[in-house]
Amino acid sequence: MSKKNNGISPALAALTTAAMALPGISSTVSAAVAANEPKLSLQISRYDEDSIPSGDADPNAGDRDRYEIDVLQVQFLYPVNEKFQITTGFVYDDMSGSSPWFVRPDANGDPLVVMSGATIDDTRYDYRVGAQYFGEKFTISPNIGYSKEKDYTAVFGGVQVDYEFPNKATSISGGVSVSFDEIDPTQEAGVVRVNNEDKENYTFFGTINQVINKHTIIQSTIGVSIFDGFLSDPYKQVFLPTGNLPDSRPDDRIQYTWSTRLRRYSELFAAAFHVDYRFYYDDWNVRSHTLDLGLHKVTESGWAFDTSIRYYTQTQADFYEPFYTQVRADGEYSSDYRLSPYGSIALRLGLSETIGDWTVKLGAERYISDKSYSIQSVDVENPALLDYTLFTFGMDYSF
Amino acid sequence: MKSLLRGLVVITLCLFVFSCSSVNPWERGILAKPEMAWEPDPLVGQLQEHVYFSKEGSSGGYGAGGGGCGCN
Repeated sequence: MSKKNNGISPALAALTTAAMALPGISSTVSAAVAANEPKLSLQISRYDEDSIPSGDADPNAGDRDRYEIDVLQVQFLYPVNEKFQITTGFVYDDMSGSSPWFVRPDANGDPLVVMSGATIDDTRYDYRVGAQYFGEKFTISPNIGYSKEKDYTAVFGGVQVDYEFPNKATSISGGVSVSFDEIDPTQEAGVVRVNNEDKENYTFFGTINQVINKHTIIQSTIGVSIFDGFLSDPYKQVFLPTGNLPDSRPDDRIQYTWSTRLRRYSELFAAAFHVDYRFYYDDWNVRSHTLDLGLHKVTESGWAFDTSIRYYTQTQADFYEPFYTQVRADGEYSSDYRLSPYGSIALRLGLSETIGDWTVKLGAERYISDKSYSIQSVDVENPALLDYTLFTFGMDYSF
Repeated sequence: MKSLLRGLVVITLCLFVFSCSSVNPWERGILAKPEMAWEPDPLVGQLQEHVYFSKEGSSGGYGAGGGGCGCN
């Protein structure tokens, strides 16, 4: 053994083996072995969108109060043996509130958002099962899932393969995922909506992980995602002087992403700095940049603290307008704020404490968006831009 | 914008190619700390990704995705 390790003593070799068995290794440095023990995680959250400001909403239509969502998440990790583990997850969303319907000009030509006429109540159930097999060189991770709302069903799955190079400092991953979605919109008297539509999504990605030094690791991922089918929002319309039309988007979309994540541990602060960046581009001509900077600190007494700031900016889709003044030759229309040009800033705080087998966690996020945060100049801001607050409370129990 | 992106790609490649030093497995205790994980809290990360996916015009970038939703 000492020959194979170039003169390393058996004691050092044993330490090496012990280090490689640390659970954190598997999530950062390399694929290794299954978790040491089963773990049950539970989280409840409250997602609360700000109401549309009175000056931005049509005073004669709809409710300015937007979505409130209560979320329950449960996840169970079960290591069958050192080579194989299973993860199951369940999510339940309870949603209520109004959503933007269309945008119309006021008497001065400024945009006003018209909200949906009645509060929408819906629930979403999401079930997922995944497995991980840890081979000598490869880790294989298949997963499947099912998501159901009143008017929306998705069946999805995928597989990821990780390979660790012999130098133990570099690993690569590749994967594919698919999703088959069906939408069956709730019908409303006097409103023209599609009856039943579907869409498909195929995502391919490749990742490289590299140990830079004993304090720093980096990961870079390239991905392509292909959407095909009904990609419009059946609950949205667009304003035209000749009368409203349904939201109508192209029936295919190809998205490209390049993301890089860096983790750097500072001995001075006894904390880890996180830097995440993502560049996004699609063939609807939406480009976005996302930069996330975080600080994560865990104390020896079991307390953990994390804080981060996320900056996001995107350009508009080719066919987007807040409202239309004339008919488009291609028949493509959308006034969805999600396809408008804007920027957003999110601030997050998290606190947790681990006592024995239990970990209790609290978190909060504040998200605000505005045209002035955009990296490009924006002439007309969509009045439905989103601000929200998110609170989370979670518990982990390791058996 | 393109020059900014090119610059970021070059910086990333340089980090990969030139900054790597040999790190023995027994020197990886810091890299194994939970705060160094790509996603320190999977449930929080899953929730945030779902919110961003359903409320912003772009999505993805960190591996495989799940199913869509009727979020509006």
